[in-house]
Amino acid sequence: MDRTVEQLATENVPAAFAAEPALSEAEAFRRAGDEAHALPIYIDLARTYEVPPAKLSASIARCYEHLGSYQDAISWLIRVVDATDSFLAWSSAGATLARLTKHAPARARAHCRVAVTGSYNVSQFAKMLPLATLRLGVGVTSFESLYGQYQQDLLDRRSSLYRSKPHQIVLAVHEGAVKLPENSDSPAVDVEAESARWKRLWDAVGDYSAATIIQHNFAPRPESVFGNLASGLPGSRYAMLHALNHILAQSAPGHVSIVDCERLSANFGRARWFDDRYWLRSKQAVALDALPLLARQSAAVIASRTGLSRKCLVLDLDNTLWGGIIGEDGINGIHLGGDGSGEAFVAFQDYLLALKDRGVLLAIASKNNEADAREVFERHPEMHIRLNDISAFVVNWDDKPANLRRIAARLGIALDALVLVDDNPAERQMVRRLAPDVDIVSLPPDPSGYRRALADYLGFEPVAVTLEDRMRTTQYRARAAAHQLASSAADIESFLSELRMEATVAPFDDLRFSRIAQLCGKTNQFNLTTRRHSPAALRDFMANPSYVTRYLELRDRLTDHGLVALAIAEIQPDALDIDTFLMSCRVIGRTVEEHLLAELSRSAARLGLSTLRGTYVPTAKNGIVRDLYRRFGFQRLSGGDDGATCWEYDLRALGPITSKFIAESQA
Amino acid sequence: MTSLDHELQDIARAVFDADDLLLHDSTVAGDVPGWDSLGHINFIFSIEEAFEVSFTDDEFANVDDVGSLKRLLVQKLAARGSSVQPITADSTEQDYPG
Repeated sequence: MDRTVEQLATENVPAAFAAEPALSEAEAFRRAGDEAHALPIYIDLARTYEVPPAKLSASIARCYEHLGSYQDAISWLIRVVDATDSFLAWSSAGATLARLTKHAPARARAHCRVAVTGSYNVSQFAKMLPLATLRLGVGVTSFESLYGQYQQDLLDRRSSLYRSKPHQIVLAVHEGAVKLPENSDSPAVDVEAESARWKRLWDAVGDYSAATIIQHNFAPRPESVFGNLASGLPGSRYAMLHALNHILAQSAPGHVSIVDCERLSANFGRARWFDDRYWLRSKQAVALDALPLLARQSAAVIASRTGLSRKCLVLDLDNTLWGGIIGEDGINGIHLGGDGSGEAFVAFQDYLLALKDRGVLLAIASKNNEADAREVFERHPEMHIRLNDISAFVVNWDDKPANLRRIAARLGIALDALVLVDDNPAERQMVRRLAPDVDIVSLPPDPSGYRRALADYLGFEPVAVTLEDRMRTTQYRARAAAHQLASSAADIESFLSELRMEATVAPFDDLRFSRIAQLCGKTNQFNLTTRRHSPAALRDFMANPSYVTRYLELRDRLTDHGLVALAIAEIQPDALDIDTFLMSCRVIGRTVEEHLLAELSRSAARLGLSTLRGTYVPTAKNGIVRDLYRRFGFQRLSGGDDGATCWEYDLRALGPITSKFIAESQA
Repeated sequence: MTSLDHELQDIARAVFDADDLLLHDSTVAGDVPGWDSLGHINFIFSIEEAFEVSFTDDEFANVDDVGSLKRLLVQKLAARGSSVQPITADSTEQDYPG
């Protein structure tokens, strides 16, 4: 341990005796209206916790609010989310957040407008949702509909819901809204008719807006007249609800994501999820103390849809992947497999491998001798994670924030794509302070709770799992290898030639549609216009003869990168006008953009057009492509009022753009 | 003020989003901005959550002043044989140290 960590560890010990009087003192100042003196005492007290109690964070937020520091107030308010699932704490924090964001929008990684409509009284839920999304980096402006209005809201194209221009619509509905009998003689017909009703609502949203739908599915009531027979009787309402949920999930189009309330309610406890006193009194279909969970899970889907899912899980080793300390206990002394806690570490590793298989990158950051650590991966018979499951392996004696930066750089992703899993509170605290963009999963003291703690973390929510997701570790490992090649190569051109890259470029097709929609929805950095076309809009581009669409798939001698770039361009009388041009950041520096522009310039020539036109719309994230068009010989025309710039490439004077390092191959 | 008074007042302040709200036994719903039908639901549920008690349908509908709410709460806590210490969401997970 270095000194900083030791200091942090000392700071982390609760100031057991000093605390109580300090709290009373702060409360007394606050009662007297002296927030300026209350605040430092509260903050000092909060520093004694890794996750401060909700009430303490809320008090600090209220002090900052009184003092006019609204962003500071918001940043403390968000901590309530990690501290508790209490209805009171959440609804109170939600109300405070709504008031604070009237002064100015919360600082966030992304912003969107969300409309909430439903079949019950969704008022409390709607107030908690912005708090939960902000914890995951999304600042939300929300529109809340009236009680039970979901059908009118969605079927009337002039409804106030559509007028609020939502990016996402949360359809907070409950089983009472489902039109199915208690017992049916023709369950297949009934379920089909009911699923068709929901799909018509989805279609209406697709027709009238570009919004994504976050659909809550249906938790079955705990009561059934058929008892244990219910699940085996296709005509029981219980079995039909399950079938309906299944059909809706299977047939959800690209603009619909499901929040699986059937599963959430089972985890929470169905008997608690349904509290009929509150339904009868005030049409609350979900128990009020389940709302923080529901808000959290809906927020996870919203964040994922906004492109903010994190990409890489960074793991500590000692007492995280195995019990004990390898440098002290040796390979035969650590706890891994066998019995008790050793078995818990194996179970945790298996869960991590399953996460990796669905596209989450695994990296190691640990203070150890590298050779000791490697030996466990290579030789321990119970070590289920092997070195080739790891995208970046950083084992040395540097501090954790420095190593997290190293991992981000090696994988070519931002710090805010990382999540740290570490058993050591002092290390976690240091990262919270010195690398705050990294999110953190706190592990409980007992390794049998590790798997649950990680599963409860919501920053890895996937929109869809594609083949690219499953291949990602291979790609990033290859990229890390290529990164090392690059730094040792005498010059970059020979490095690029050595990669022997090949690309397939062709119009969008159905087979690749989900990947195309995913890339369009989440690419932030290498994206010239950042136009988030909905799947419906993308389908229109595909079908419209006045548009040219192209995807690009890249392979090299190390790996198959899959579909990594795409372009959409409109055929105008005088020019081919590029609406969308974007590329996955994992292939930056490979001249993929040159290859795709070359293809567009050839398309323009084939269409008899002499001009290729492009637009750059600046955002907080896409500075990397500010000079892209200039680099390829485009002339700048004008600037728009939003800082956008327009560029033209003269094909007659300059000839088509050529791709120097990537060979064309057939689809 | 008893500790029960304090706790109720703290809950009411959080529910009705008013740091300087003062509750008296004679306080009725109409005296408190935000204590409408939805506010009532939020207030009653927050009390249920904090004290781990449960109100019946009738109690729910008929209690709309602080005095009768307190009497009801004291009865319920006494029937449970507990002291009047509330169980807040914070204290179930992490209490203030000390």
